[in-house]
Amino acid sequence: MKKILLWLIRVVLAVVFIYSGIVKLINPAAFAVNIDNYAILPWFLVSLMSAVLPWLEVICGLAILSGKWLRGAALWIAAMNVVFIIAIASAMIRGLDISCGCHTTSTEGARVGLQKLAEDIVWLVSSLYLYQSACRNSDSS
Amino acid sequence: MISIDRRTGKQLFYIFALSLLAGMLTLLFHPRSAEVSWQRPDANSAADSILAAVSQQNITLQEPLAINTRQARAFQQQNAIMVDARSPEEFRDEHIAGAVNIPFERIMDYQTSIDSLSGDDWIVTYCWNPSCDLAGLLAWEFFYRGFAKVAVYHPGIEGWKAAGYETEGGAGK
Repeated sequence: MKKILLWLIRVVLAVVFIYSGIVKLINPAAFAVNIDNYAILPWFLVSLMSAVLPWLEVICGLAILSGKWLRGAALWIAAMNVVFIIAIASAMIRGLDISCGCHTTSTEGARVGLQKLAEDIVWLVSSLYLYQSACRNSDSS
Repeated sequence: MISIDRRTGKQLFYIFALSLLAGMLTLLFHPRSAEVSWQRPDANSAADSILAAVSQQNITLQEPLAINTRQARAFQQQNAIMVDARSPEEFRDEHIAGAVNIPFERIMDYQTSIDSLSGDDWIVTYCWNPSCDLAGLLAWEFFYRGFAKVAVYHPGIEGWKAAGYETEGGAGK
């Protein structure tokens, strides 16, 4: 049962992050607009992040799916989600009406809000669970 | 508590290094990559010279041109098409004088309106204010659909009103 759950988490996380990475890579400039709208980072970092973050998502997704670098990828996904959660929460607190920029550069159904916050918390918990399980498996083997 | 051993540390580094390398290549070679500079493109005072160059020398823009309130006003007076990216209800309440409404979130319903626009005219998209990203996204949408002269007015209707320019609609004046 636990194996099935772990397998399911890996597939779901991989699909979600590979998909969202590819969508952003199609148009990094539009993703930069999404990041910039959070009004957190200077433009220089925004432009760098708009190119690096999508690749981080794709590579982590592929790593999780393949099982290669599984623990590193799970930790990176957890770290990314911590950043996403802070960014979304800060946008909500400041009353910004912006698109999340999470899994699309479009705005349809993707505004910042509790739904996106909850979604990222789910990914965070899932990736941490995956990491802990991978560590335990490695210790016992 | 999360403990990170040496092997995991190496994996973290490899993944980051690979992403960084791919990201740098993206910035260098991707035709739609963001402009890397210390200043935000829309804070760039070069907008005026780009504007003049585009108008006079038929230069092709690589991305929608971000303009300020003064430039947006000049565009409006030169009969650019001002496009409101907000919802029809918000547009009805108040919009920039002479603007048309193409809500980004319902863009598929506005195909006829888009088809009726001329690619020879400047298109200026706007939303509420810089916090609302619909204008930027709509501008990119126009750009991808082959409109070559697209500008985005980030200060939006709030910046427009703050400058004292006229609006229309239920709450307009």
